[in-house]
Amino acid sequence: MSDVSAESRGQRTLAFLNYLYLLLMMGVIALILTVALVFQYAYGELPCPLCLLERLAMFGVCFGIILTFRHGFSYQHTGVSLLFALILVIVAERQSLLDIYPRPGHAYIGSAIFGLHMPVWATIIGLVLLFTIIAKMAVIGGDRALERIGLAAFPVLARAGAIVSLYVILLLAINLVSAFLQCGFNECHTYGYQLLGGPTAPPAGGT
Amino acid sequence: MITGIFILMFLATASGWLGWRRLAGAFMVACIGLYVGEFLWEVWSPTTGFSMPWLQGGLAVPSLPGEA
Repeated sequence: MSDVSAESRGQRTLAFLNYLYLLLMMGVIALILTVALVFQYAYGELPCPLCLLERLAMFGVCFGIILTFRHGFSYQHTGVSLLFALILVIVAERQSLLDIYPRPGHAYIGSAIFGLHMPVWATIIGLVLLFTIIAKMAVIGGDRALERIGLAAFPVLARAGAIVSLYVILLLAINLVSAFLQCGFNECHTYGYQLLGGPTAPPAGGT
Repeated sequence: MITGIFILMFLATASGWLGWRRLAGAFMVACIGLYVGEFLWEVWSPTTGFSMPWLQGGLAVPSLPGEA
C-alpha cells in the first residue's frame, strides 16, 4: 500500500517537474523575445529577414509548449518544439557564417551584447533550447507520469502556464503587426518601416 | 512573404490555444513550408548559389608530415 503511494507520489513529482521545466523554458523565450522588441522600438534596431525567421523559430518552440499546456503531454508537441529549436540553430548558424566576414551589404547589424552579435546569440539560444529539451527527456523523463497525471493536478502551474502562453500569443501578434509595417508583403529590409513611408533603399554610402 | 509566415504562425498558435488542434496542425505545416522556402530564398545568391566563397580554408603549414 505504502509502495503504491510512494510510486504515485514519485510520478506526481516527475509530472510537476516536467510542467515546471516547460513553463520556465517558455518564460525564458518570452523574455528573450521581449528584449528583442525593446531593442527594436527603444533603440531603433530593425530586425533583418533572417532575424525575423529566428524570432519565428522561437515562437515555434513556444507553440509546442503551449499545446502541451492546453491539451496535455504528447510526443508530437515535444517534436514540434525540437524541430523549431533545430531550425533556429540552422538559420542562426547560416546567418553567422553569412556575416562573419564584413563586406559591402553584409556585416553583423545591431549592438553586440558581451561582444557577441544577435546571430551568434541566436545560435547559442537554439543550442541551449535543444540541450534543454534533450536534458529534460534524459534526466527527468517521466513520460508515463505525464500521460497519467494531467496539468489539472497542479492548478497553480496551469494558471501560470496559461498566463505565459497568452503573453507569448500577444508577443506574436505584436511581431506580426510589426513585420507587416516593416515589410508589407514585400521583401524585408532594415532601412525603415515600408508601410510608414520609411526609406526603401540604403542611405548613401551605407550598406 | 515573412508577414505571411507570421500570419500562419499566429493562426496556428491561436487555433491551438482555442482547442482546434487539426486546424493548428494544418496552419503549422503551411507555416513550416513557407518558412523553409523563405529561408532558402534569403540565403540564395544568383552569383554564388548556396556556397559561401568568403570562407576559405588554408593549411597553417605548407605541407603535412609524410606528404611530398
